[in-house]
Amino acid sequence: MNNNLNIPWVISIRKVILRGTFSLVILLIMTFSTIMWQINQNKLTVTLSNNYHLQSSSLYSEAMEKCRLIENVILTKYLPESAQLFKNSFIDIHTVLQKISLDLSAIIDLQDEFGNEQLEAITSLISKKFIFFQRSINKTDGIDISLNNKNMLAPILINMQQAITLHNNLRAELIVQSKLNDKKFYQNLIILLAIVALTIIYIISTFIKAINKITNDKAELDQIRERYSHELESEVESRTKLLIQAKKNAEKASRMASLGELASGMAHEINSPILEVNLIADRIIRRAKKGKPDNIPLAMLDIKKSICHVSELIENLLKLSRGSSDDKFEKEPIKNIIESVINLSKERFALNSILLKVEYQNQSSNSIIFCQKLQISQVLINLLNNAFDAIELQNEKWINIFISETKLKTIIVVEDSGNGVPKNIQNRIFDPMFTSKKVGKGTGLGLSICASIVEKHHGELFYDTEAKHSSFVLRLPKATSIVDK
Amino acid sequence: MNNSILVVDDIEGVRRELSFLLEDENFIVHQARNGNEAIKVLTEQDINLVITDILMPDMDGFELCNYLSKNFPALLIIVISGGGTIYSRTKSDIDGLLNQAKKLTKADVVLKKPFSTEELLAKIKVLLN
Repeated sequence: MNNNLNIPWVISIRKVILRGTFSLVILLIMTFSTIMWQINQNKLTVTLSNNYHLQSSSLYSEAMEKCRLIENVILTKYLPESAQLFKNSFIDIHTVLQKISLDLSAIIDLQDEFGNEQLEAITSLISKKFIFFQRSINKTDGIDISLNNKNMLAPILINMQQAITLHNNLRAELIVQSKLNDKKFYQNLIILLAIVALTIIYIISTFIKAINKITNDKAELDQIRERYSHELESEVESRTKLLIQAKKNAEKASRMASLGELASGMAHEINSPILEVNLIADRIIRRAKKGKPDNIPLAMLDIKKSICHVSELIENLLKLSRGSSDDKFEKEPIKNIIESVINLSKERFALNSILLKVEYQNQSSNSIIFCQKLQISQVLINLLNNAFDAIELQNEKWINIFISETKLKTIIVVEDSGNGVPKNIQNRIFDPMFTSKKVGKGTGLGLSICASIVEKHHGELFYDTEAKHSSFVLRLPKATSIVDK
Repeated sequence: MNNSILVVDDIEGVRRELSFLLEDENFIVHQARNGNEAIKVLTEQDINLVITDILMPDMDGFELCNYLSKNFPALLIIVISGGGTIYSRTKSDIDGLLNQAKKLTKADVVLKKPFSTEELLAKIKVLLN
């Protein structure tokens, strides 16, 4: 699992996700700051509005005080003691009115700031009524203020009270609204945070899922690959078995072919003792009929000798047909092997006018090799048969077998009068199933099997590319060199 | 009298038994183990008929016959062959082989081993009379 997470593209995906998450966090911080700033701004506005309302309502209160003062002045005017007061003019109504008027204009200015229609309407109503009242006072010149004038003040006062109440209401409403707004902002903030958190969780979980899926897929693929490789292995194994079986069959086929050669060659050797036995039997019958009985025990000994010879030959045939498993490695003079092989082929070659020459060079006629005799015979029979097939239809027909030896090896060269193996196939002649012979003539197995037999004997079998004619060279370790090993 | 016969075979038993057979039939029989010995006997004795094997060490039947046809053209020859070759799988193959042997040896009669005594004696009687 850990190994899987370290593969390059997983690392790069992880980088991308880390960067994405980092960007998201930055974005979140910025949004958060903006919201906080907004909340603060909102609070400032609310405070400002609140102040306006307070200022406005205090102005209204002052105006009301002043109006009440005027009212009281008007009322006191009708008291007997008050005339004196008015004469002394301890209060200048016009000045007070002027002040009220200034208050009202200040209120109107303030109201322009937050533009509440209801407030503006009530304020303009108050202004109009007041201006009207002010004019009426101005006409009376301060002295002739009547109760009528006083009555004009009452609705103004009521309106002013209404305005103050309205201000208070608006103020309360503003505070509630501001609190609601704050709450909403915080809610939005939480929602935002939740969305971001969910997004991050989603991304990470998707990533983990993807990684898991990839890991699982990889494991599955590994399993499939393993299964396939197992299947492949078993397939290869079974094919190899088939190949080995085929090779065994081919070896058997080649052995049987050699057996055929050997059998026909042996016919001569077997037929002679059979003839001898036949002649002995005829002699005994013939002489018995003539009343001159023969020495029977002596005749029987001759018969037994012939039979022994035949059974030996048959035993050798059987050995070859059974294969090499029970053919023991033995010390064998090379001369014996060559002679037995020549005897098997001589008549056939002679009948086809092929000149067969055997020549022992240096001390090689005494050379002894450590071998499976029948196997080496098979190799030589094969080489001779190939030579026979190569020159059968030529005018000049000869086969030379040269035997020589070095310190460690015995060398047998089989040379024929043929044109030699063409250069382009020289390196393929030891391959199994390769043949240059006509269909039905060769199996293509002879030389490959010869090569494997020679290999088993730690020897060498090769085609002499330097030779003028077709020349196969067989080099086998001498018995002494094997023993030395 | 045409009754002198030379038996040439490298196998002692065959040589011996043929000699017994022919001597019982009142022929004068000489023996040789191979071609070289046969030529030696021929130069020393008056021989009418040669019975020879093909495969023998030193001088084989083919060489001997070749020599005889050149040096003793009047000599009668019976070749006895082991008949063992790859071609002798069927009767026609055997006939082909015997014809081939006859052609090569220029022998008067070719017999394939094992043959019966009657067959041999019949051939000899035909040749010598």
